[in-house]
Amino acid sequence: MVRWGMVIDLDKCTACQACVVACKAENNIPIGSEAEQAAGRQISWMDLIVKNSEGRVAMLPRPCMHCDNPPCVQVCPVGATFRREDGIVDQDYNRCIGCRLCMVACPYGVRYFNWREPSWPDTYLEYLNPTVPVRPAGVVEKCTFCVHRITRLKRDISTGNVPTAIAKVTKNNMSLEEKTSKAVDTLMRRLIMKSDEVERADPEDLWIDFDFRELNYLPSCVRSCTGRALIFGDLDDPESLVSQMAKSKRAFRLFEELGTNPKVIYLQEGR
Amino acid sequence: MEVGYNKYYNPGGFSRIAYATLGILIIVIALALHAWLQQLTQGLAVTGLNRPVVWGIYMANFVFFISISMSGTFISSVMRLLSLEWGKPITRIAEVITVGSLLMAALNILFDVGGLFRALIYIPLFGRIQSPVGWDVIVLLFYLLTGLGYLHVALIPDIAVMAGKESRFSWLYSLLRYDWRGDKDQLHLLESGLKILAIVTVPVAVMMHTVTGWIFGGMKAVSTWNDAIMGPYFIIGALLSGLSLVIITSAIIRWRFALHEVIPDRTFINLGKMLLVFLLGYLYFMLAETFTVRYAAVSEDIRVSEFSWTGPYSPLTWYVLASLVIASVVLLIPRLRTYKAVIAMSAAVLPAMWVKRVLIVLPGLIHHDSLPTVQSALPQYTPTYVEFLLTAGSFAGLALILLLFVKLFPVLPVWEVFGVQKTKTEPTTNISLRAVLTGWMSGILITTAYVAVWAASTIIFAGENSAVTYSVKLAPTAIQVLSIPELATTAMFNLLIIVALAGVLAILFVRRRG
Repeated sequence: MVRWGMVIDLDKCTACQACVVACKAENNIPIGSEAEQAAGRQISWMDLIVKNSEGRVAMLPRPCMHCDNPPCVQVCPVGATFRREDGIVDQDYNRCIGCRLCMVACPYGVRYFNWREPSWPDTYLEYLNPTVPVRPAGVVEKCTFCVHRITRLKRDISTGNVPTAIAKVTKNNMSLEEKTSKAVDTLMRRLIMKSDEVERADPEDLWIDFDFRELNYLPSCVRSCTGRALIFGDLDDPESLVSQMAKSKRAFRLFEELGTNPKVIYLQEGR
Repeated sequence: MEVGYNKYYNPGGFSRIAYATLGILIIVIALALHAWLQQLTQGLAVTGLNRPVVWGIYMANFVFFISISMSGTFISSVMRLLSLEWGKPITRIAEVITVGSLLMAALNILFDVGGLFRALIYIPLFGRIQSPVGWDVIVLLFYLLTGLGYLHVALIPDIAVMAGKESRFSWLYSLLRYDWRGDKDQLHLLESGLKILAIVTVPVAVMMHTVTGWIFGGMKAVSTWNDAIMGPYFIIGALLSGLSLVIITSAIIRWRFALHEVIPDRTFINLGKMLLVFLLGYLYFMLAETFTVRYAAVSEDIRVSEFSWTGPYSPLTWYVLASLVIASVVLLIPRLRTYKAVIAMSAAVLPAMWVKRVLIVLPGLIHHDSLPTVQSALPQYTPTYVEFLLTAGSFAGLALILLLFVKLFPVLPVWEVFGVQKTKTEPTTNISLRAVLTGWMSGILITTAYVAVWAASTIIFAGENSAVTYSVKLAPTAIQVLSIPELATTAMFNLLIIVALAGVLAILFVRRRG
C-alpha cells in the first residue's frame, strides 16, 4: 500500500517561495481582483509559515499535512473531503456545501474558501491548467499533493508510456501502486541528484532529457524547489528516499500532540 | 369573567401600532432579502468573513436563536408537568417563540453556507452522522417537529371554538381542529397527549442545546473551545436567554391585549425568580470557564482570554458581565423584585446574551491562526452591512411570526386558563383527535427511524469517500475504523427517543375511552 508523504528539509529551504508560485500556477489558483488581495483573501495552498522566535525569523513551507487522522474529514457533514486509500486527503469540490467547518477544525490552517467566483487577468486565462478543475465560489479547497500528476503517472505506467529509467524499476509482478511508488522514488532521486553525481552516474540510469519533462510527474512544489528541500514519496516503502529521510534525528511534525498524525515531516535546521 | 374569555377568541384586528410594526418588519425583511440576494449572487465576499475568522455573526445568531428556542419547551413543559397554574397563560407565547426561533436558526445556517442549494440537497442525500452539522440538522428537525406538534395539539380546543365564528380564516380553524367537540373523553386524551409530548420534548431540547455546544466543544484546533463545559454551558445559556425573551414578549402582549387580570404582576415576579436561578447558574458557569482558562494558563488559551477580558473585546465582555451581575443583584433583593424590574432586567439580559454568543464564536476564531503565514490576512473581523441586515432580518422574521400568530390565534391557552368551551359548530372532518396525536407521534417516530436508517447506512455502506473518518495504519494494509464516539452518542440518543415514543404510542392505543 502506498502512503504518500513529504519531507521538508529546512536546512536546504531558502524561503524563495518558488513552491508557492509553482503551486498557484499548477493548480489554477485564482489571482483575484486588487480589492480582494487587499482584503487578504488570497488562496495559497502552499505558503510559508513565519516563525519569529528570539529575534530569529524562521520560514517553513506549509503544504497540507495530509494527516492520517484528519480532523477536517471527521467534521465534514457531506463527505466532501475524504482520505484516499493512498493517504492523500482530497476534496470533492462538487460535493462541498461551503459550511467551513473543516477550516475551523484544521489546526494547520491549510484550507481555503472561495469567497468569490475565481478570476484571472485576461492574459492568464489561456495558461490555466486543463487537468485541474477550477473551483466555483462557495467551496473549500486545499493542497492535494498534485494528485492529478500522480494519476497521470499511474495512467502512463499502466499504458507503458514511461521513460526507461522508470520502466527499469517497475517489475511486472508489482501492483500498480507499488510501481507508482517506485517510479516516484526514482524520479525523486533523479531530481535531487547533484551535477557531479550526474556525471559519475551510469548513463543507462539516467534518461537525458534536457527539459526534465518527466520530472513533472512529481508535485509542482517539489519539482520547482530551488534548494531541493522538498522530498516527496511513499512513506510505507522503507527503501524510499522520503521514508529514509523521515527517520532522521532532525525530524519533527507540526502539532504532533493533537494526534492528527501528519504526513509532512520537517527536518530541523541548524544541527 | 363569563364573557371575558370570549374576546380571546376574536382574532385581533390590526391596530395602528400593529400596522406600524408590521410595516417596519416588512421593510426590514425586504432589505434583508435584498442583502441575501446580493450575497447569493456575489458570494460570501460581501461579508466581513475571512481566514481565520470563517464564522461570524451568522454563527452567533444561529446559536442565539437555538438558545431562545429553549424557552417554549422549558416553560410549557415545566408548567404542564408540574401543573403550575400561574404559568399556564404564557405557555402558548413560549411555544410560538420556540417554533419561530428554530426557523430563524435554520435560516441563519443557510445564510452561512457557501452553497445554499447544495446544502439543501446534499445534507439529506449524503449527510454524515459523524459531523456536528449532521447532529445539528437531525436534532433541529426533531425539535421543530415536536415543537410544532406541541403547539398544534395545545391549540386544538381553542381553534375549535374559533371555527364557529365568522372570519376570513375560519377554513384554517376548521381544518386544524379535526374532530374536536370538547367532551370529557377528548379532553382526557388531549391532556395525556400533551403531557407525553412535554416529556418527549425535554430530552430533545436538552440534546439540541448540548449538540450546539458540541460544535464548538469538539474543535480541538481552536483554543478555549475544546472544553467539556460547552454542552451544559449552552443549556444554561439557553434557559436564560429563552426565559428573558418569554418575559419580554409576555409583557408586550399583556400591554397590547390588556391581560392584566390573566397575567398578573405575580406571574412576572415568579418568572423573575426563575430568571434569577438561571442568571446565577450562568454566572457560575462563566466563573468555572474563566477559572479553568486562567488558572491552567495554557499559552494559547490565555491569549484568547486576555483578548476578551483586557484586550480589544474587553468592553463587550465587561458589558455582558455587568448586565448579568446587575440583573442578578436586582432580582436577588426582594424589595427591588417588582414586575417592572423583572421586565427591565430581562431586557438587559437578552442583548447581553446575544453579545455573549458573539464572544463565544469570535475571540477563539481570531486566534485560530496558530501558524501565521506570509500571505495570511490580519486576524480580524468587521461585519459588513450585509451581515447586519441579515441579522436584523432574522430578528424581524421572528417578530413577524409572533405578530401574525397573535393576530390569528388566541394568545392564551384559553381552555387551560378559563376551562374548555363547548363548540358551536360540528366538526367537518372524521379524523379523530386520537389520529391527530398518533400522527404527530408517528411523524416524530418516522423522523427517528429515518435518522436511524441514515446513521446505519452511513456505517454499513461507507464508501471510500463517505465515512472514512479514522484510518488506523496497520501494515501492510490500512484498516478503516469509523469514528465510534460521536456515532454512539447520537445512536444512544435516538434509541432513547425511539423507546420514549414507543411508550407514547402504546399509551395512546392501549388507553381505553372514559
